[in-house]
Amino acid sequence: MKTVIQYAIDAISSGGLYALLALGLSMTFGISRIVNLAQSELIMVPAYLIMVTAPWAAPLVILVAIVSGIVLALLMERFAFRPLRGADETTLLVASFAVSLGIQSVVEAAAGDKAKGTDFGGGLNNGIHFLGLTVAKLDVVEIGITLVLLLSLLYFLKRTTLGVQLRAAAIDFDMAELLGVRSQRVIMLAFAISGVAASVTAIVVVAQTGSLTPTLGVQPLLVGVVAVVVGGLESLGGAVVGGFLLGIVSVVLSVTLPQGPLQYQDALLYLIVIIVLLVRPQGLFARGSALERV
Amino acid sequence: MSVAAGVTPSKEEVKRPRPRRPRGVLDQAWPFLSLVGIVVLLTLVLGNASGEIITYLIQALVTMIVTIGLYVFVGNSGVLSLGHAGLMAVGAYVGGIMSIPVIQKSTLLPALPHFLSSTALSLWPAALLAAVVAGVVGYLVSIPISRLSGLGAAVATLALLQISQVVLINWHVLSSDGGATPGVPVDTTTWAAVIGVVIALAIAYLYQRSASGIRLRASREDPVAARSLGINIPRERRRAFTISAAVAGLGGALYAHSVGTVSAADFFIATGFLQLAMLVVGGINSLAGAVSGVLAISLITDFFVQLENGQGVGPLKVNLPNGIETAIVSLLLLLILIKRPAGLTKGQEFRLPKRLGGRGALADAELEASAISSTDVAVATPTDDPGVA
Repeated sequence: MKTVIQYAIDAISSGGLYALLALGLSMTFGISRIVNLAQSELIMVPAYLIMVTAPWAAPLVILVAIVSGIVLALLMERFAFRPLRGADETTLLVASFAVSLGIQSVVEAAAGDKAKGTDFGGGLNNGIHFLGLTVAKLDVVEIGITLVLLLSLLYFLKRTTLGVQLRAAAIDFDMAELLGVRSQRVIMLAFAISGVAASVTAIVVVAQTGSLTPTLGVQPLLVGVVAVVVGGLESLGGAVVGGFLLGIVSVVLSVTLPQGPLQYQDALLYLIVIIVLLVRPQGLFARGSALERV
Repeated sequence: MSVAAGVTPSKEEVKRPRPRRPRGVLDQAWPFLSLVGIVVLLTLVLGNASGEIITYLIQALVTMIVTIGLYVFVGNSGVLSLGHAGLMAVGAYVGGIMSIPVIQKSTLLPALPHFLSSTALSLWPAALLAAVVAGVVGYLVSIPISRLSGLGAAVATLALLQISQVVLINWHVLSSDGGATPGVPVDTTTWAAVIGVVIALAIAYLYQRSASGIRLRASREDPVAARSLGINIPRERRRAFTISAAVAGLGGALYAHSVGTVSAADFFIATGFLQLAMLVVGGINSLAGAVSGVLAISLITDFFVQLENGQGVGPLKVNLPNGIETAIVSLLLLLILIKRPAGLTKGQEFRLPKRLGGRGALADAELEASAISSTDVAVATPTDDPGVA
C-alpha cells in the first residue's frame, strides 16, 4: 500500500509538470498554430539565470526566472513568429526549431557546453516523514506549485474576460477577431503564459538535478509535445489530461517493465505517439474529426 | 488513356497555343548535368588545397548526399521529415560495421553474430548494403508515415528519430560504448564522395521525372485534386520515402567511412535540423535547392568553425567561442523563412539557357502541368486509397 501511494505521488508530481508544459504548448498552438519547439529554451534560459542569481533570496530568484521566461517568450513572438504570421504549420515548426537551436548555441557560446552545477533548492531533496511515508520535500513543493499554477490558469481561462477571449481565439482565431477580440494582445498573452509555465518547469528541473547544460530543456519539451499530441493539440483540457496520463504511464512502465526493456521506455512512449497520430490524429480526448474537409 | 480521352475537345483546348517543340536530351538532362558540373568543378578547384579544406569538402559532399535523400521525399511530397538523421544512422552503422577489419571486430563488438563478424567489406559493397538496409527500414517506416501529413508527419518523424536514438544507444550488439563504434576504415576520398553525390543526384532526378515522382508532386500541390484524379497518395509517398531512405543510407555509409567512428549522438536532432535547414535555405522544392543549400550553409559553417578553432581565415584572425556557427545558421534560416520562403533557388531547377538551345527558365508548375496530362494518372484505383489525414 505504501509503495502504491509512493508511486501515485511520483505520477502526480511528474504528471503535473508535464501538464503545465503541455498547457503552454497547446496554448500557443491553438492561437497561432505554432508547435513551439523553442519552448525548451524558455526552460533553459531561466534555468541558467537561476544558477547566476542563486545566492540571492529565493523569492527574488524565482521572480527573475519567471520574468525572464515571459520576456523571452514575448521576444520570440515579436521577432520570429510575428513576421511569419499566416505561414503554414510546418514552416512555423521549422522556424521554432531555428529559434530553439539559435538560443541554445548562443548560451553554449556564452557559458560553454559543459554541465554546470548549482545548489539552488538543494535543501528540498530531504525527505519529510508523513503517515509513515517518506516523501521528498521537492515532490511536495512540485505538486504544490504545479497544482496552484494549473488551478489559477484554469480559473483565469474560465472566469475572466481575458481568459474567455483567449479560449475563443484558440478555438477559432478569425471568428474571435471578428467579434472584437484584440488579436495581438491575446497572442502575446498566450506566449507570456507559455513563458510562465516553462520557467516554473525550469525552477523544478534545477532543484531536481542541480546540473545545467544548454540542452536541458529539450527532454522536458519533447515529453510536453508527446502529452500535447496524445491529449489533442487543439484542446487545452486535453493537454492537461494528456500530461497527467503521461506521468501515470511512465511510472507504470518504470514499475512493471523488467530491467532490460526498461532502457527502451522512451522508445515505447514515442511509439504510442505515432500510434495516436495514426489512429486519432485529433487526440484521445477531442471530439469530432481533425480531418480538414474541402 | 489520358484523363481527357473520349471527350471532345472544348473551345479552350482549341485555343491553346501551339505546343512548343519537344525538349532535346541536353535540355532535359540539364538540371542534372549542371549540378554534377558544379560539384565536379568545385572538387577540381579545391582538390589541391590543404588537408583541412579537403576534410570540409568531403563532409560537405557527404552531407549533400543525405540532403539529396531528404529532398527526394520532402521536396516531392511536401511532407516534412525530421527523422532522416535516423535513416542516415542506419546506413552509417551498417556501412561502418561491415567494413571494420575482422581482427578488430571480435574485440570491438563481441555481441555481433558470427556471420557478420567474420566478414569485412570494402567501401562500395558496404555502401550498397547500407543503402539496401536503409531502404528496407525506410519502407517499413513509410507504411505508417505515408498516411500522415503536415504537423502529424513532422511530430511522428521526430518521434521516430527519438526511437532510433534510444535503440542506438542501448543496443549493445551495434556499439562498444554508449552508442559509439570506432574502427571503421577512413577511406571516403574526395572523388568517392563525388561519385556518391552523382549517384544520389541521378536517383533523385530520375525519380522526380518518373511517373511516380510527377504524381507525388501533383499531390504536393493539391492533395484533393490529386486524389480525385485517382492518385494513391500514400503509395507514392511510400515509394519516395523508400528511395529517399536508401540515398540517406548511402550518405550515412560514406559518412562513417569519412570519420572512422560511428556514434549515435551524430545522428540526432542537431544533424536532422541542419539537413532540413540546408534544404529550406536552398529551396525545398528543387534538386538545385538541395545542392545550393548544402553549399551555402557548409561554406558559412566551415568559415565560422575555422574562426572558432582559432585558425583564422586568410588575414582574418579572431577567436570566436564554439556554437556561433549554429547561431548564424539559425538566424539565416529564420531570415530565409521570413524573406524568401521558397529558398535561394525559389524552388526552380537550373535550366539550359536559350542561347544553348534550351527553353530557358520555365516555371516548374508549367512543366508539371504539361507532364501530368501525358501520364497515366487514372490507373490507380481510387478505392484502395483510404485518404490522408
